[in-house]
Amino acid sequence: MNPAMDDSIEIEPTPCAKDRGNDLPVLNEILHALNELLTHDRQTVIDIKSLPFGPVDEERLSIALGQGEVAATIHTLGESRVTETAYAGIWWVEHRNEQGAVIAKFIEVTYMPDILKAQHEDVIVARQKLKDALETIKLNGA
Amino acid sequence: MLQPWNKNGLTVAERLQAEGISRRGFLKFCATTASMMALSPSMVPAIARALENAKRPSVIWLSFQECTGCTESLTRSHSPNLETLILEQVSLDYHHTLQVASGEAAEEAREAAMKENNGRYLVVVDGSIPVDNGGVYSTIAGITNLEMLRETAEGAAAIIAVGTCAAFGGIGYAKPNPTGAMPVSAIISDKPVINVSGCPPIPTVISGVLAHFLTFDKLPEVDDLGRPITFFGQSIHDRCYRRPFYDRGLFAESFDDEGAKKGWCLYRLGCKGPATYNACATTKWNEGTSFPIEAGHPCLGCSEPDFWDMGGFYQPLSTPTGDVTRTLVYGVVAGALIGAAAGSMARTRKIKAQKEHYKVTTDDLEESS
Repeated sequence: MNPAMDDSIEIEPTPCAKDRGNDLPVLNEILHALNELLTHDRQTVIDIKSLPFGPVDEERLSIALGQGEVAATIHTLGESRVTETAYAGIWWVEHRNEQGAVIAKFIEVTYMPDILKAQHEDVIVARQKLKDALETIKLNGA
Repeated sequence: MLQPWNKNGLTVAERLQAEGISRRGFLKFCATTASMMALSPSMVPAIARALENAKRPSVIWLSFQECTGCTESLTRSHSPNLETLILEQVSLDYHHTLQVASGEAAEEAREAAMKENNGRYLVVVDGSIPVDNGGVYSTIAGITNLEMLRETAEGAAAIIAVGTCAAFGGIGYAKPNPTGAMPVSAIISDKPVINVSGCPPIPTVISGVLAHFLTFDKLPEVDDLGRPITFFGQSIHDRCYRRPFYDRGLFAESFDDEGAKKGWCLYRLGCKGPATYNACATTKWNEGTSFPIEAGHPCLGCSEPDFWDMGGFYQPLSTPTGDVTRTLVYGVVAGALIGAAAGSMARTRKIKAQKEHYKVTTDDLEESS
Protein backbone atom coordinates (compact mmCIF):
# COMPACT_ATOMS: atom_id res chain seq x y z
CA MET A 1 0.00 0.00 0.00
CA ASN A 2 1.22 3.45 -0.81
CA PRO A 3 2.11 5.05 2.54
CA ALA A 4 0.64 8.31 1.27
CA MET A 5 -2.76 6.56 1.04
CA ASP A 6 -2.51 5.05 4.51
CA ASP A 7 -4.96 7.07 6.58
CA SER A 8 -3.92 5.23 9.74
CA ILE A 9 -0.78 7.40 9.79
CA GLU A 10 -1.39 10.44 11.93
CA ILE A 11 1.14 13.20 12.19
CA GLU A 12 1.46 14.35 15.77
CA PRO A 13 1.08 18.09 16.10
CA THR A 14 4.07 20.11 17.20
CA PRO A 15 4.48 19.78 21.00
CA CYS A 16 2.19 22.41 22.42
CA ALA A 17 0.56 23.92 25.49
CA LYS A 18 2.77 23.02 28.41
CA ASP A 19 5.57 22.01 26.05
CA ARG A 20 6.63 24.30 23.18
CA GLY A 21 3.91 25.16 20.68
CA ASN A 22 4.84 27.35 17.72
CA ASP A 23 1.58 29.28 18.00
CA LEU A 24 2.03 30.30 21.63
CA PRO A 25 4.97 32.67 21.05
CA VAL A 26 2.92 34.38 18.33
CA LEU A 27 -0.02 34.85 20.70
CA ASN A 28 2.37 36.43 23.20
CA GLU A 29 3.74 38.69 20.45
CA ILE A 30 0.19 39.73 19.56
CA LEU A 31 -0.52 40.54 23.22
CA HIS A 32 2.61 42.68 23.29
CA ALA A 33 1.45 44.39 20.09
CA LEU A 34 -1.92 45.20 21.68
CA ASN A 35 -0.07 46.87 24.56
CA GLU A 36 1.93 48.89 22.02
CA LEU A 37 -1.26 49.97 20.26
CA LEU A 38 -2.91 51.10 23.48
CA THR A 39 0.06 52.78 25.10
CA HIS A 40 1.99 54.21 22.12
CA ASP A 41 -0.62 54.12 19.33
CA ARG A 42 1.83 51.95 17.39
CA GLN A 43 0.49 49.37 14.94
CA THR A 44 2.12 45.99 14.32
CA VAL A 45 2.02 43.74 11.27
CA ILE A 46 3.14 40.11 11.50
CA ASP A 47 3.88 38.24 8.26
CA ILE A 48 2.56 34.71 8.77
CA LYS A 49 4.87 33.40 6.04
CA SER A 50 7.89 34.37 8.10
CA LEU A 51 6.85 32.06 10.96
CA PRO A 52 8.09 28.45 11.27
CA PHE A 53 4.62 26.93 11.47
CA GLY A 54 3.93 23.21 11.27
CA PRO A 55 0.85 21.56 9.76
CA VAL A 56 -1.59 22.57 12.51
CA ASP A 57 0.01 25.63 14.07
CA GLU A 58 -1.77 28.19 11.89
CA GLU A 59 -5.09 26.42 12.37
CA ARG A 60 -4.56 26.42 16.12
CA LEU A 61 -3.70 30.13 16.05
CA SER A 62 -6.81 30.84 13.99
CA ILE A 63 -9.02 28.95 16.48
CA ALA A 64 -7.39 30.75 19.40
CA LEU A 65 -8.07 34.17 17.87
CA GLY A 66 -11.63 33.36 16.84
CA GLN A 67 -14.06 35.30 14.67
CA GLY A 68 -14.98 38.95 15.26
CA GLU A 69 -17.60 41.43 14.09
CA VAL A 70 -16.06 42.68 10.84
CA ALA A 71 -15.36 40.88 7.58
CA ALA A 72 -14.53 42.74 4.35
CA THR A 73 -13.56 41.64 0.85
CA ILE A 74 -11.44 43.77 -1.48
CA HIS A 75 -11.33 43.11 -5.21
CA THR A 76 -8.05 44.33 -6.66
CA LEU A 77 -5.27 42.20 -8.19
CA GLY A 78 -7.30 39.23 -6.99
CA GLU A 79 -9.33 39.03 -3.81
CA SER A 80 -8.20 40.18 -0.37
CA ARG A 81 -10.05 39.39 2.82
CA VAL A 82 -9.84 41.45 5.97
CA THR A 83 -11.45 39.95 9.07
CA GLU A 84 -11.38 41.07 12.64
CA THR A 85 -10.70 38.38 15.21
CA ALA A 86 -12.70 37.90 18.38
CA TYR A 87 -10.23 40.33 19.95
CA ALA A 88 -10.88 43.91 18.85
CA GLY A 89 -7.89 45.45 17.11
CA ILE A 90 -6.47 42.12 15.94
CA TRP A 91 -7.10 41.46 12.23
CA TRP A 92 -6.35 38.80 9.66
CA VAL A 93 -5.39 40.27 6.26
CA GLU A 94 -5.18 37.66 3.51
CA HIS A 95 -4.18 38.52 -0.07
CA ARG A 96 -4.99 36.17 -2.92
CA ASN A 97 -3.98 36.36 -6.57
CA GLU A 98 -6.38 36.25 -9.51
CA GLN A 99 -6.22 32.46 -9.49
CA GLY A 100 -7.37 32.37 -5.88
CA ALA A 101 -4.06 31.29 -4.35
CA VAL A 102 -2.99 32.89 -1.08
CA ILE A 103 0.10 35.01 -1.81
CA ALA A 104 0.49 36.77 1.53
CA LYS A 105 -1.12 36.60 4.94
CA PHE A 106 -0.70 38.99 7.84
CA ILE A 107 -1.94 39.56 11.35
CA GLU A 108 -2.38 43.29 11.82
CA VAL A 109 -2.76 44.80 15.27
CA THR A 110 -4.33 48.18 14.57
CA TYR A 111 -7.60 50.10 14.86
CA MET A 112 -8.17 49.66 11.13
CA PRO A 113 -5.90 48.03 8.49
CA ASP A 114 -4.63 50.63 6.00
CA ILE A 115 -5.81 48.62 3.01
CA LEU A 116 -9.44 49.15 4.06
CA LYS A 117 -9.19 52.92 3.95
CA ALA A 118 -9.89 54.79 0.72
CA GLN A 119 -6.52 55.97 -0.58
CA HIS A 120 -5.88 59.68 -1.20
CA GLU A 121 -4.74 59.10 -4.81
CA ASP A 122 -7.87 57.05 -5.53
CA VAL A 123 -10.08 59.78 -4.05
CA ILE A 124 -8.54 62.36 -6.41
CA VAL A 125 -9.29 60.09 -9.37
CA ALA A 126 -12.78 59.44 -7.99
CA ARG A 127 -13.53 63.18 -7.79
CA GLN A 128 -12.65 63.60 -11.47
CA LYS A 129 -14.60 60.53 -12.50
CA LEU A 130 -17.69 61.72 -10.65
CA LYS A 131 -17.36 65.17 -12.22
CA ASP A 132 -17.18 63.54 -15.66
CA ALA A 133 -20.16 61.33 -14.85
CA LEU A 134 -22.21 64.35 -13.79
CA GLU A 135 -21.29 66.19 -17.01
CA THR A 136 -22.42 63.21 -19.01
CA ILE A 137 -25.71 63.06 -17.12
CA LYS A 138 -26.26 66.81 -17.71
CA LEU A 139 -25.43 66.48 -21.40
CA ASN A 140 -27.88 63.63 -21.77
CA GLY A 141 -30.51 65.71 -20.00
CA ALA A 142 -31.23 62.98 -17.48
CA MET B 1 6.17 36.18 -22.34
CA LEU B 2 9.12 38.27 -23.35
CA GLN B 3 8.62 41.98 -23.05
CA PRO B 4 10.13 44.45 -25.48
CA TRP B 5 12.40 46.99 -23.81
CA ASN B 6 10.19 49.60 -22.23
CA LYS B 7 10.98 52.81 -24.04
CA ASN B 8 8.15 54.89 -22.56
CA GLY B 9 9.98 55.12 -19.22
CA LEU B 10 6.96 54.54 -16.99
CA THR B 11 7.64 53.77 -13.35
CA VAL B 12 6.15 50.69 -11.71
CA ALA B 13 3.43 52.76 -10.02
CA GLU B 14 2.58 54.49 -13.30
CA ARG B 15 2.42 51.18 -15.14
CA LEU B 16 0.03 49.72 -12.58
CA GLN B 17 -2.09 52.87 -12.74
CA ALA B 18 -2.13 52.70 -16.54
CA GLU B 19 -3.45 49.15 -16.23
CA GLY B 20 -6.37 50.46 -14.14
CA ILE B 21 -5.06 49.17 -10.82
CA SER B 22 -6.05 51.39 -7.89
CA ARG B 23 -3.74 52.81 -5.24
CA ARG B 24 -5.22 50.22 -2.91
CA GLY B 25 -4.09 47.58 -5.38
CA PHE B 26 -0.66 49.20 -5.43
CA LEU B 27 -0.55 48.92 -1.61
CA LYS B 28 -1.45 45.25 -1.90
CA PHE B 29 1.32 44.84 -4.48
CA CYS B 30 3.78 46.51 -2.07
CA ALA B 31 2.66 44.38 0.89
CA THR B 32 2.98 41.14 -1.05
CA THR B 33 6.31 42.30 -2.49
CA ALA B 34 7.63 42.98 1.03
CA SER B 35 6.51 39.52 2.07
CA MET B 36 8.14 38.03 -1.03
CA MET B 37 11.39 39.84 -0.27
CA ALA B 38 11.16 38.51 3.30
CA LEU B 39 11.30 42.09 4.53
CA SER B 40 9.45 43.35 7.57
CA PRO B 41 5.91 44.58 6.86
CA SER B 42 7.04 47.88 8.37
CA MET B 43 9.05 48.35 5.15
CA VAL B 44 5.89 48.64 3.01
CA PRO B 45 5.81 52.48 2.98
CA ALA B 46 9.51 52.54 1.96
CA ILE B 47 8.82 49.97 -0.76
CA ALA B 48 5.86 52.02 -2.00
CA ARG B 49 8.04 55.15 -2.19
CA ALA B 50 10.80 53.26 -4.03
CA LEU B 51 8.42 51.57 -6.48
CA GLU B 52 6.86 54.92 -7.33
CA ASN B 53 10.18 55.82 -8.96
CA ALA B 54 11.39 52.38 -10.05
CA LYS B 55 11.75 51.76 -13.78
CA ARG B 56 11.92 48.45 -15.57
CA PRO B 57 15.44 47.09 -15.73
CA SER B 58 16.60 45.06 -18.70
CA VAL B 59 17.31 41.44 -17.75
CA ILE B 60 19.47 39.02 -19.73
CA TRP B 61 19.01 35.44 -18.56
CA LEU B 62 21.86 33.08 -19.49
CA SER B 63 21.31 29.33 -19.21
CA PHE B 64 24.55 27.39 -19.24
CA GLN B 65 25.36 23.84 -18.03
CA GLU B 66 21.97 23.27 -16.38
CA CYS B 67 18.80 21.18 -16.36
CA THR B 68 16.27 24.08 -16.71
CA GLY B 69 14.94 23.21 -13.25
CA CYS B 70 15.58 26.75 -12.05
CA THR B 71 13.48 28.26 -14.85
CA GLU B 72 10.84 25.58 -14.25
CA SER B 73 10.79 26.52 -10.59
CA LEU B 74 10.07 30.15 -11.41
CA THR B 75 7.64 29.72 -14.28
CA ARG B 76 5.68 26.84 -12.76
CA SER B 77 5.19 28.66 -9.51
CA HIS B 78 1.71 28.22 -8.07
CA SER B 79 1.37 31.92 -7.40
CA PRO B 80 1.75 33.04 -11.00
CA ASN B 81 0.16 36.42 -10.55
CA LEU B 82 2.84 37.75 -8.25
CA GLU B 83 5.69 36.27 -10.28
CA THR B 84 4.04 37.45 -13.48
CA LEU B 85 3.71 40.93 -12.06
CA ILE B 86 7.37 40.96 -11.17
CA LEU B 87 8.34 39.63 -14.58
CA GLU B 88 6.15 42.25 -16.21
CA GLN B 89 8.02 44.90 -14.29
CA VAL B 90 11.34 43.78 -15.76
CA SER B 91 12.22 43.66 -19.43
CA LEU B 92 13.29 40.09 -20.01
CA ASP B 93 15.26 40.61 -23.20
CA TYR B 94 16.98 37.24 -23.55
CA HIS B 95 16.10 33.78 -22.23
CA HIS B 96 16.69 30.62 -24.28
CA THR B 97 13.72 28.72 -22.97
CA LEU B 98 11.14 31.50 -22.92
CA GLN B 99 12.01 33.65 -25.92
CA VAL B 100 10.37 33.24 -29.27
CA ALA B 101 13.42 34.24 -31.28
CA SER B 102 16.06 31.64 -32.01
CA GLY B 103 19.44 31.39 -33.69
CA GLU B 104 20.99 34.64 -34.87
CA ALA B 105 17.90 36.68 -33.99
CA ALA B 106 18.18 35.54 -30.36
CA GLU B 107 21.81 36.52 -30.14
CA GLU B 108 21.00 39.85 -31.77
CA ALA B 109 18.42 40.49 -29.02
CA ARG B 110 21.09 39.88 -26.38
CA GLU B 111 23.57 42.16 -28.09
CA ALA B 112 20.94 44.88 -28.57
CA ALA B 113 19.93 44.75 -24.91
CA MET B 114 23.58 44.96 -23.86
CA LYS B 115 24.22 47.93 -26.12
CA GLU B 116 21.07 49.88 -25.23
CA ASN B 117 21.41 49.36 -21.50
CA ASN B 118 25.15 49.31 -21.06
CA GLY B 119 26.08 49.49 -17.38
CA ARG B 120 22.46 49.18 -16.22
CA TYR B 121 21.18 45.72 -17.16
CA LEU B 122 20.88 42.74 -14.88
CA VAL B 123 22.30 39.34 -15.79
CA VAL B 124 20.69 36.19 -14.41
CA VAL B 125 22.69 32.99 -14.80
CA ASP B 126 21.53 29.43 -14.21
CA GLY B 127 23.90 26.51 -14.65
CA SER B 128 27.61 26.11 -14.08
CA ILE B 129 30.27 27.18 -16.55
CA PRO B 130 32.62 24.52 -17.94
CA VAL B 131 36.16 25.89 -18.28
CA ASP B 132 38.31 22.86 -19.13
CA ASN B 133 39.73 22.77 -22.67
CA GLY B 134 38.70 26.34 -23.29
CA GLY B 135 35.11 25.70 -22.24
CA VAL B 136 34.20 23.61 -25.30
CA TYR B 137 31.84 21.36 -23.34
CA SER B 138 28.94 23.80 -23.58
CA THR B 139 28.41 26.34 -26.33
CA ILE B 140 25.53 28.50 -27.53
CA ALA B 141 25.52 29.78 -31.11
CA GLY B 142 29.15 28.71 -31.33
CA ILE B 143 30.11 30.79 -28.32
CA THR B 144 31.38 29.02 -25.22
CA ASN B 145 29.51 29.64 -21.98
CA LEU B 146 32.72 31.04 -20.54
CA GLU B 147 33.07 33.58 -23.35
CA MET B 148 29.37 34.52 -23.28
CA LEU B 149 29.42 35.07 -19.52
CA ARG B 150 32.51 37.28 -19.64
CA GLU B 151 31.17 39.25 -22.61
CA THR B 152 27.68 39.75 -21.12
CA ALA B 153 28.93 40.52 -17.61
CA GLU B 154 31.13 43.33 -18.85
CA GLY B 155 28.33 45.88 -19.15
CA ALA B 156 26.10 44.49 -16.39
CA ALA B 157 25.07 46.38 -13.26
CA ALA B 158 24.92 43.12 -11.30
CA ILE B 159 24.66 39.36 -11.72
CA ILE B 160 22.24 36.96 -10.04
CA ALA B 161 23.53 33.38 -9.96
CA VAL B 162 20.31 31.37 -9.77
CA GLY B 163 20.50 27.78 -8.52
CA THR B 164 23.26 25.82 -6.85
CA CYS B 165 25.04 25.16 -10.19
CA ALA B 166 25.52 28.87 -10.95
CA ALA B 167 26.14 29.71 -7.30
CA PHE B 168 28.50 26.91 -6.25
CA GLY B 169 29.01 24.63 -9.28
CA GLY B 170 26.29 22.14 -8.31
CA ILE B 171 26.13 18.73 -9.95
CA GLY B 172 28.48 19.73 -12.75
CA TYR B 173 31.11 20.62 -10.14
CA ALA B 174 30.58 17.34 -8.26
CA LYS B 175 33.41 14.81 -8.36
CA PRO B 176 34.93 14.01 -10.79
CA ASN B 177 33.84 17.27 -12.48
CA PRO B 178 34.66 16.12 -16.03
CA THR B 179 34.03 19.49 -17.68
CA GLY B 180 35.87 21.66 -15.17
CA ALA B 181 32.57 23.25 -14.14
CA MET B 182 32.83 26.48 -12.14
CA PRO B 183 30.36 28.83 -10.46
CA VAL B 184 29.83 32.40 -11.68
CA SER B 185 31.71 33.93 -8.75
CA ALA B 186 34.86 31.99 -9.69
CA ILE B 187 34.91 33.68 -13.09
CA ILE B 188 33.48 37.15 -12.53
CA SER B 189 35.15 39.15 -9.81
CA ASP B 190 34.60 42.77 -10.86
CA LYS B 191 30.79 42.88 -10.66
CA PRO B 192 28.36 42.38 -7.76
CA VAL B 193 27.32 38.70 -7.83
CA ILE B 194 24.53 37.39 -5.63
CA ASN B 195 23.95 33.67 -5.15
CA VAL B 196 20.38 32.37 -5.03
CA SER B 197 21.24 28.76 -4.35
CA GLY B 198 18.96 25.74 -4.19
CA CYS B 199 18.29 22.78 -6.45
CA PRO B 200 16.06 24.34 -7.55
CA PRO B 201 15.83 27.64 -5.69
CA ILE B 202 12.49 28.58 -4.14
CA PRO B 203 10.62 30.56 -6.84
CA THR B 204 9.67 33.27 -4.38
CA VAL B 205 13.32 33.73 -3.47
CA ILE B 206 14.22 34.25 -7.15
CA SER B 207 11.35 36.73 -7.52
CA GLY B 208 12.25 38.32 -4.20
CA VAL B 209 15.80 39.13 -5.30
CA LEU B 210 14.54 40.44 -8.66
CA ALA B 211 11.97 42.52 -6.77
CA HIS B 212 14.66 43.89 -4.47
CA PHE B 213 16.76 45.03 -7.43
CA LEU B 214 13.70 46.48 -9.13
CA THR B 215 12.61 48.29 -5.98
CA PHE B 216 15.85 49.57 -4.54
CA ASP B 217 18.08 49.50 -7.66
CA LYS B 218 20.67 47.37 -5.83
CA LEU B 219 21.14 43.82 -4.65
CA PRO B 220 20.16 42.85 -1.09
CA GLU B 221 22.62 42.29 1.74
CA VAL B 222 24.41 38.93 1.49
CA ASP B 223 25.95 36.32 3.80
CA ASP B 224 29.51 34.98 3.62
CA LEU B 225 28.53 32.76 0.67
CA GLY B 226 27.04 35.66 -1.25
CA ARG B 227 23.40 34.70 -0.57
CA PRO B 228 20.68 37.19 0.42
CA ILE B 229 20.54 37.23 4.21
CA THR B 230 16.80 37.81 4.31
CA PHE B 231 16.26 34.33 2.85
CA PHE B 232 19.45 32.50 3.87
CA GLY B 233 20.14 34.09 7.25
CA GLN B 234 18.90 31.18 9.34
CA SER B 235 19.31 27.44 9.09
CA ILE B 236 16.47 25.12 8.14
CA HIS B 237 16.95 23.53 11.57
CA ASP B 238 16.50 26.80 13.45
CA ARG B 239 13.25 27.56 11.61
CA CYS B 240 11.95 23.98 11.46
CA TYR B 241 8.59 23.31 13.09
CA ARG B 242 10.03 19.91 14.18
CA ARG B 243 12.77 21.64 16.18
CA PRO B 244 10.86 21.13 19.49
CA PHE B 245 11.12 17.34 18.94
CA TYR B 246 14.88 17.68 18.44
CA ASP B 247 15.12 19.67 21.66
CA ARG B 248 13.27 16.93 23.50
CA GLY B 249 15.43 14.17 21.96
CA LEU B 250 12.56 12.66 19.95
CA PHE B 251 13.84 11.25 16.64
CA ALA B 252 12.50 9.09 13.83
CA GLU B 253 14.91 6.15 13.49
CA SER B 254 13.52 4.87 10.18
CA PHE B 255 10.97 6.07 7.62
CA ASP B 256 8.22 3.82 8.91
CA ASP B 257 8.66 3.73 12.67
CA GLU B 258 6.44 5.36 15.28
CA GLY B 259 8.65 8.44 15.41
CA ALA B 260 8.24 9.01 11.66
CA LYS B 261 4.47 8.58 11.92
CA LYS B 262 4.34 11.09 14.75
CA GLY B 263 6.38 13.63 12.81
CA TRP B 264 9.44 13.61 15.04
CA CYS B 265 12.82 15.09 14.13
CA LEU B 266 14.54 13.54 11.07
CA TYR B 267 18.10 14.25 12.19
CA ARG B 268 19.09 10.59 12.49
CA LEU B 269 17.72 9.88 9.01
CA GLY B 270 20.28 12.21 7.52
CA CYS B 271 18.56 15.58 7.73
CA LYS B 272 21.03 18.31 6.73
CA GLY B 273 18.80 21.05 8.17
CA PRO B 274 21.31 22.09 10.87
CA ALA B 275 23.98 22.79 8.24
CA THR B 276 21.69 24.21 5.56
CA TYR B 277 20.66 27.82 5.16
CA ASN B 278 17.51 28.52 3.15
CA ALA B 279 13.93 29.74 3.53
CA CYS B 280 12.14 26.40 2.91
CA ALA B 281 10.85 26.10 6.50
CA THR B 282 9.00 29.40 6.33
CA THR B 283 8.44 30.30 2.66
CA LYS B 284 7.73 26.65 1.79
CA TRP B 285 6.85 25.17 -1.62
CA ASN B 286 3.79 24.52 -3.76
CA GLU B 287 1.76 27.56 -2.88
CA GLY B 288 3.18 27.57 0.64
CA THR B 289 1.82 24.08 1.25
CA SER B 290 4.85 22.42 2.83
CA PHE B 291 8.54 21.64 2.44
CA PRO B 292 10.49 18.34 2.31
CA ILE B 293 10.73 17.89 6.09
CA GLU B 294 6.99 18.55 6.46
CA ALA B 295 6.45 15.84 3.82
CA GLY B 296 8.51 13.43 5.96
CA HIS B 297 11.85 13.57 4.14
CA PRO B 298 15.14 14.88 5.52
CA CYS B 299 16.59 18.08 4.08
CA LEU B 300 19.27 17.22 1.48
CA GLY B 301 21.11 20.50 1.97
CA CYS B 302 20.68 21.46 -1.70
CA SER B 303 21.41 25.16 -1.15
CA GLU B 304 24.87 24.49 0.29
CA PRO B 305 28.17 24.19 -1.63
CA ASP B 306 29.24 20.61 -2.49
CA PHE B 307 25.98 19.06 -1.31
CA TRP B 308 26.36 16.25 -3.85
CA ASP B 309 29.68 15.22 -2.31
CA MET B 310 28.67 15.39 1.33
CA GLY B 311 28.80 11.63 1.81
CA GLY B 312 25.21 10.43 1.50
CA PHE B 313 21.78 12.00 1.79
CA TYR B 314 20.71 9.56 4.53
CA GLN B 315 23.84 9.72 6.63
CA PRO B 316 23.44 11.74 9.83
CA LEU B 317 25.62 14.81 10.07
CA SER B 318 27.52 13.48 13.06
CA THR B 319 28.93 10.51 11.12
CA PRO B 320 31.88 10.96 8.73
CA THR B 321 30.79 12.76 5.60
CA GLY B 322 34.00 12.44 3.58
CA ASP B 323 34.40 10.00 0.72
CA VAL B 324 35.59 6.93 2.68
CA THR B 325 36.32 4.92 -0.47
CA ARG B 326 38.63 7.61 -1.76
CA THR B 327 40.35 7.85 1.64
CA LEU B 328 41.10 4.13 1.49
CA VAL B 329 42.52 4.34 -2.03
CA TYR B 330 44.77 7.28 -1.19
CA GLY B 331 46.03 5.42 1.88
CA VAL B 332 46.99 2.32 -0.06
CA VAL B 333 48.64 4.24 -2.89
CA ALA B 334 50.78 6.18 -0.45
CA GLY B 335 51.69 2.99 1.33
CA ALA B 336 50.92 4.71 4.60
CA LEU B 337 49.88 2.31 7.27
CA ILE B 338 48.00 4.95 9.20
CA GLY B 339 46.07 5.97 6.10
CA ALA B 340 45.22 2.37 5.35
CA ALA B 341 44.11 1.78 8.91
CA ALA B 342 41.90 4.89 8.81
CA GLY B 343 40.50 3.80 5.47
CA SER B 344 39.83 0.35 6.83
CA MET B 345 38.04 1.83 9.84
CA ALA B 346 35.98 4.08 7.61
CA ARG B 347 35.10 1.15 5.40
CA THR B 348 33.97 -0.84 8.41
CA ARG B 349 31.80 2.05 9.56
CA LYS B 350 30.42 2.44 6.07
CA ILE B 351 29.44 -1.23 5.86
CA LYS B 352 27.97 -1.04 9.36
CA ALA B 353 26.04 2.08 8.50
CA GLN B 354 24.70 0.41 5.35
CA LYS B 355 23.51 -2.60 7.36
CA GLU B 356 21.70 -0.61 10.01
CA HIS B 357 20.62 2.91 10.64
CA TYR B 358 23.55 4.66 12.19
CA LYS B 359 22.77 5.63 15.78
CA VAL B 360 24.11 8.78 17.33
CA THR B 361 23.90 10.04 20.87
CA THR B 362 22.32 13.28 22.01
CA ASP B 363 25.81 14.53 22.86
CA ASP B 364 26.86 13.93 19.26
CA LEU B 365 23.89 15.92 18.05
CA GLU B 366 24.60 18.83 20.35
CA GLU B 367 28.28 18.91 19.32
CA SER B 368 27.55 18.94 15.62
CA SER B 369 24.69 21.43 15.60
